[in-house]
Amino acid sequence: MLLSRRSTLTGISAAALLAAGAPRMAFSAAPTDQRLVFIFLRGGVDGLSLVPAYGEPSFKAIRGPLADGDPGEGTIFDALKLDGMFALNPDLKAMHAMYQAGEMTVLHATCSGYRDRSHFDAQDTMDRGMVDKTLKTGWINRTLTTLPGQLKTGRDNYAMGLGPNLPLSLRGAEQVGSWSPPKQAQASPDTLERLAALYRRDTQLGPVLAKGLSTEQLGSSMSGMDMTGQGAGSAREFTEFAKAAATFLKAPDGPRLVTIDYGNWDSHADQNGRNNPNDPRVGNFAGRFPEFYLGLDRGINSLKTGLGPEVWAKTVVVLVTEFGRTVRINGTRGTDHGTGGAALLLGGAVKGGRVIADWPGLEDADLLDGRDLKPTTDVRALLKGVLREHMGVGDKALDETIFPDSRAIRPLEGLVRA
Amino acid sequence: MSREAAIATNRFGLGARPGEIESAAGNPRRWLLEQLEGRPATPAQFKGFPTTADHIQNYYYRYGVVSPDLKVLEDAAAASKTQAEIDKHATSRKGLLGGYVAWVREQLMLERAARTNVALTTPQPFRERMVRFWSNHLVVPVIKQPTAVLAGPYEREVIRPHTTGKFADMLLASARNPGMTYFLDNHLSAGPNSAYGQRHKIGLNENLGREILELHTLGVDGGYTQADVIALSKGITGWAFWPNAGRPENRDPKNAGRTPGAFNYFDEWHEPGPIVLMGKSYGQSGVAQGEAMLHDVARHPATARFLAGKLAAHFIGDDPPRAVVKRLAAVYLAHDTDLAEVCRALVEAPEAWAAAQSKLKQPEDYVLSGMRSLNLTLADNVVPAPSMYRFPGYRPPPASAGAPYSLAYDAAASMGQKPMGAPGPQGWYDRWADWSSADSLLKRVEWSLATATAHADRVEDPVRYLDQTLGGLASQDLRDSVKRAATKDQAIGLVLASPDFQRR
Repeated sequence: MLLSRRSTLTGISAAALLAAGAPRMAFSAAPTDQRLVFIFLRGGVDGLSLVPAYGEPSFKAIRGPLADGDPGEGTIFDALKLDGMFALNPDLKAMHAMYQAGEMTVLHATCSGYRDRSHFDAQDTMDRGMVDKTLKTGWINRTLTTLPGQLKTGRDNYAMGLGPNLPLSLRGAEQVGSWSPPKQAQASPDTLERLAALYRRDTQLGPVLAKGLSTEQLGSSMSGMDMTGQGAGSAREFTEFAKAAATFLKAPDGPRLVTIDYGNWDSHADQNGRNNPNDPRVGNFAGRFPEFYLGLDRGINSLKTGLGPEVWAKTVVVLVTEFGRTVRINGTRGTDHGTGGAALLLGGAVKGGRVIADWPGLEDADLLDGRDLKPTTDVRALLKGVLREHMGVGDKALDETIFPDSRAIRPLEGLVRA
Repeated sequence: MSREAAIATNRFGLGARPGEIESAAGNPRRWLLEQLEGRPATPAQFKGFPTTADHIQNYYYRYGVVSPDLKVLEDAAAASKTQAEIDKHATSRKGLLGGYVAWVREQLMLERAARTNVALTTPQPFRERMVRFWSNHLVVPVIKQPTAVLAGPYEREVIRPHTTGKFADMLLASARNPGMTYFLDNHLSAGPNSAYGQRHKIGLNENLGREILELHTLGVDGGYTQADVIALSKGITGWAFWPNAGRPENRDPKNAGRTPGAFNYFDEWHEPGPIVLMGKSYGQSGVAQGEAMLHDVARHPATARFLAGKLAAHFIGDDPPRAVVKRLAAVYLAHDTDLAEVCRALVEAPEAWAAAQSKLKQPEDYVLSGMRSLNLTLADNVVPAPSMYRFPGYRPPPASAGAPYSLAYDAAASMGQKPMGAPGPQGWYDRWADWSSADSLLKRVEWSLATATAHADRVEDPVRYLDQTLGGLASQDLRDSVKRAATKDQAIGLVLASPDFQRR
């Protein structure tokens, strides 16, 4: 039963019935029409696989089998070099082309303020935008509270999370939409009207239903995708979400800020395993990590293609993870939970083609606790820089509301094309 | 209509089936506590299902027998001169692989369907909630091979027998179980100074050691350090199973006497010497060292606090009153980790009855409660015979078996929760905000209305249906709305989709 544009427009107006959210108004030109896509690679991406520091003299020795294919041997790392020190994972070919076109920037040796190597605490820290657990809202939701009202005028959702469940980053005072493909057939407007009346007095669930009914109008044209769960859990799902994100962001009254979760990056074992015919394992069960990189590349490429040149030029895509992984390989050809890693900016609006890194080095004495890449730039410096330059968010909001007590972390500058 | 009976069935149980609220009405607390009595039995729906040992042996068969066949086919394809020859070998290879993949898919469907039917029909819904709670706490989800097929037997062998027993025993059973071992990589982890580690230049994998401390026992704020993670990881090196697919020593004659498919300890993988965990030195040798460590962390006050807090948050509210958490933790420690005693304290806690309807049902429980209200079950499926492990000759059960199953599985999945498919070792999150997105709520509404339309014939009188489903928990608004509904299926749809039915 699809709660479609037809049922909501003919039978009821969700906003009118539930008296929640902004009133619908004719779309008018907003002062800024920028797009922001926030992609959270959950599970802890190995920053030295995403962006290998091949120029480190000791890289090959430290990384062992994970440095497979380093330069000087006529291998793929040569093709995906970024500069004299860094290269891009060999499976990220489309993204490498974006780097060469000046549409991608890498921030290396970065992390949130969190240091204790728990996935779940680290993810929550990234979503909250601060280490302090007492704050129960997400940094993106707090960003929404600081944006000028006219940005949100004329659209049901300024921000939207893809996937059935909202990540913590989007939770808070502002109602935010979420979307996954509809599954069922038409509902009768009369039943919906009666149901809406039941929800009107529920202060917790009423506004949520209103939001859902309004979002469904946009999503009704995109049925037929088969995906469920906590955001994308596979390469295929991520590509589908990226395509859906492009559709939403292109719509004149669609959202301007979209988040996508892409999970399962926790590479404790067989990190470089590929589906090679000599592998004794059967089927696609070995080596999901190369698949994940290929999926990332396909998804980003679909997003760019789907947005088209005009909207892509107004777009910044931010990719982060909760932490990097151990610099040295563990006992099982993988890497364990670490600290410093890499974050990426992509998009037509990005002033790219460079790697930003206050590089700590990979010698034993350079590592955090003798095991992790030492984080030298707080990831909030990147997020603050993007919000300031791309979305026009002021310093006071950045330092106090969005990332509380973060005045000491200065926004990176020159991230976005003038 | 007793409000407390409705709370007992809804908040502590899986949602009322017709007649259940009446059964509980005499003494709702006793109705719950009686469910904890007696020895745990494996529900009849699982009769004939494979054990962990069956699956491990089967997996070994896949490596040892089918892999070489694949290699032969691939070599033959590589050596082929004509396209026709290549195609022939490729087709046979596809058949071999396809047989296994089809078998795994069917196996998962059968496991999920049987588990759903247990939840739909059990006379002990409170006990079943506890099974699901602990399965989610010490989770082995179906998100990784080969733990996908091990998740079902894991729950039967590790969780069910200890649900009203001691947590310390459940924890030990979990850490020894091949499903958990596989899921968190412990079968790959060798002591850096162990004989095997030295010989093969392999070492520690911290995955299981870390999650035991962070997620299973002390909790992330439980006061352990990175050094403790390494210490516990070392203490449980060599805890694996046999045969361990892919390892050359499977063919070593000295391993021939081991019990196939079960927990096995490999001393030459074990880190030698005393190990200090949480400030205490463990000088035992062999498997006793890790056992002593788990014995102590299970009884640590931080573990008591963590488990009590999680239980209270699950049954009472996202931020439960501190007093009740403290009480549950004290009971846990006073009774040497006895979970039946903790359950009893929970049922007897006034806080659990005072804050009714403050939790949002998770999607799977929501779907289960909707199906229970209509007395729906899934069709019984064919139980796989052991011979089907020989998957080249595997024939799936009749196609009709899949249809009713999708009613439960696809619905919960579309709302964001794939049954048995928690996203990682943390299990499913449990707060209101984790499940209250607009899209998820919309999917609940859609499912309710569609299910009501499909099964309205099971209900004679919608008002009686409301009484039997929500009893004293139904709001006056909902009661009026059901009375005024235009059709029977609209009335049932409104009950299932209502805010009252989303909560517990």
